[in-house]
Amino acid sequence: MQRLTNFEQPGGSGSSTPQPYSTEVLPAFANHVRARSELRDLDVHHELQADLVKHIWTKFGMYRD
Amino acid sequence: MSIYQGDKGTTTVILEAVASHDLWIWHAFFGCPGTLNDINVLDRSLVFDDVEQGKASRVNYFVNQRPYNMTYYLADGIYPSYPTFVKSIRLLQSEPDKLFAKYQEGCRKDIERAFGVLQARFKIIREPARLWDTADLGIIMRSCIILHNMIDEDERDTYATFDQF
Repeated sequence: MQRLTNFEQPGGSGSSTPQPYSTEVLPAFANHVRARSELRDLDVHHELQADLVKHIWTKFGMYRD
Repeated sequence: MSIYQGDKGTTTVILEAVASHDLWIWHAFFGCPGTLNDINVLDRSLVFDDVEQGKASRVNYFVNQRPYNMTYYLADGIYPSYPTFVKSIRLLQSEPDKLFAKYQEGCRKDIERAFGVLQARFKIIREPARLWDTADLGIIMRSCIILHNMIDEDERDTYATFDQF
């Protein structure tokens, strides 16, 4: 028990007041996470592919051999 | 977007690059050992950093009357299914699928052509590397790509190009 007191901050009495902190997500980080997940959206990938298939088909379908 | 790799079974260094139809190389990322797979290369690459930080320029366009706002690369099948990659279709089930695969693969050949021209222009990157230091190899590769683009800028008007889309 005696040893633990060695780790206290100098001037010991202040150790009971907690440091201010925030649990809110930083806006910059939230933006980063949103951009990142938007960039990896599987559904959008498949939608885009399906639309491109249709686009190519309507544009070039009649010329195929 | 694609990768260039030496013969299988030898030690290789991967080059990831983005090229356009006129053979201009827009992005190149060099230096990962060939043992890394393409997804690992992509994770280390800087190609998406701008987009992830919300810096990349957005383009609004419609495909089949549906709005999209992100540009995409034509990639080969090993790349992940992200909205920024359009890959060919592996299991062809219908006629439209087959036609799409044909066009996608036809356009994606641009990167292979760009690598082909790059290698044809510079003997030093056509042959097995003479140096051991990856940083030195990276400088050589980067210099060749810059020279390639300079030649390209000078000559691209003489290339036969087709604007069909």
